[in-house]
Amino acid sequence: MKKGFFFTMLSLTVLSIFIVVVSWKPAELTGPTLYSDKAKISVVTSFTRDAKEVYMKRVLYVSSRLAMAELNEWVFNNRTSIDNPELRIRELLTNGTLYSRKAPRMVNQTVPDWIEKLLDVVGENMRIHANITVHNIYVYQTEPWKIVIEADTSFYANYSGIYYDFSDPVAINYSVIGEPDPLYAMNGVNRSIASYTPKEWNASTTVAHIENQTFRYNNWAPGYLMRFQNNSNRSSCCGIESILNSTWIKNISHIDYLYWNNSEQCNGPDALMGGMWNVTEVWDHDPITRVLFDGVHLSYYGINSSTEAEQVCP
Amino acid sequence: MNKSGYFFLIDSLVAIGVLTVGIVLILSYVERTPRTEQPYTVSEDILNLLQKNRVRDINNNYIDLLRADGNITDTAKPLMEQIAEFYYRGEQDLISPFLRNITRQLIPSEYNYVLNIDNTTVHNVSRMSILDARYVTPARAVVHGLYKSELYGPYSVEVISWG
Repeated sequence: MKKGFFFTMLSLTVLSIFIVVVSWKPAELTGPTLYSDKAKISVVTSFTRDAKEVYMKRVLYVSSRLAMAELNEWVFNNRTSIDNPELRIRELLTNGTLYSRKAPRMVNQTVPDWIEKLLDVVGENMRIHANITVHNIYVYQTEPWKIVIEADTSFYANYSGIYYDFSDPVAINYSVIGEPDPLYAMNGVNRSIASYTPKEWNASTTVAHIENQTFRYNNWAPGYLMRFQNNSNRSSCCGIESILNSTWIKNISHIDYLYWNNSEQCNGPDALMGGMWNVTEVWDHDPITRVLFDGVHLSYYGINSSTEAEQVCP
Repeated sequence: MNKSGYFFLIDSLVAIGVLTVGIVLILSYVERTPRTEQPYTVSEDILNLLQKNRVRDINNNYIDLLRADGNITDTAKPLMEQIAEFYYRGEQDLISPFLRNITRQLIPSEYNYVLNIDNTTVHNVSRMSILDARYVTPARAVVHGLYKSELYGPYSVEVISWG
């Protein structure tokens, strides 16, 4: 009888061990603690990644678009230049003001406004304690048709003890194509930036360039931001220019930044530009009324001075 | 062979039978037990589906129709951004048919869930009351996007599933 009891106990023990082995799973794979930690990490990483790589770039784009509109409108209405466009764009983006006056387009549209909206949503609905701080905004150009808007930003996000804390610049390349040109605006003319890069510059492509009111890259011309200042200095990376078609008869080059910044060019120091030239094909073309080229630009536009143009002065 | 020999032989056969039945029961129990984490990830899966797939990734006649009508202008947008854009434009009536069409083949019909944008229910799929549910799981995210150079959102979006 004792032997029977022993075997019964033995079989029960073996069976118990078997059940335990079969039903045992590593607790760390399915346990609620690890699952919730994984979820927390996922929440924090997806928030910070989206904030840095998508949201802040969209904010910079949308706010910059409005800031550029404010700046161009100010130049057009006041018919004057902006002293420091980089500083003014930064002022519009961060304070929503231009020369310390409230800019109507920027109400609830500044970078801090948009950051606050995001932080409110994630704080109230996702219980993420977050902070995004823009320390500085840089505005500059490295190519003719784009402005770099770069925000020196730090991010902090804490979700139930899981937190991220890092600093990184967020930058966008803001295209100026389609934007009003400030130099034309301050002279009371509406002209939007449109680039033109024909395979070859000659009299025919120059006619199209004038007629379509397009701009071209020229490393002797001022860049888009410099044009807010009415600055005629060269920008080797980013210079752009267009040709004015005007009825104003004056012996002066019709290259836009020269036209509005120079006096008569056939006399005095500007005579070094190679005199003034009238291009036959351009002159004959309707509706272009009067366009003069200085000698330097004549060759820059691929026009032969002896066969395709006649000298007006000196 | 004496009587105790028969007894132990029969006893061992019974023991083998008991063990076999036990093993079969245990194995069948293990097979049928649902993954414990599954109910917790349904909401997250639905949210991920809407956030990580773009409109152009979905081959669907209804989407083609919306595109032809001009209601969808950018097929590179994630589905969630497109839904938020409908919400921003005040065209909430487009959201439910849009979601019904794109989730028909992707989300099994036995799941109950709602999609809320800014605490407003914009889509509801339920076969049982949430009050009778054994589990209720929410998943939340933030959505924003660009429409005609304007930034919409950020909106809180929430998927709540139950079963």
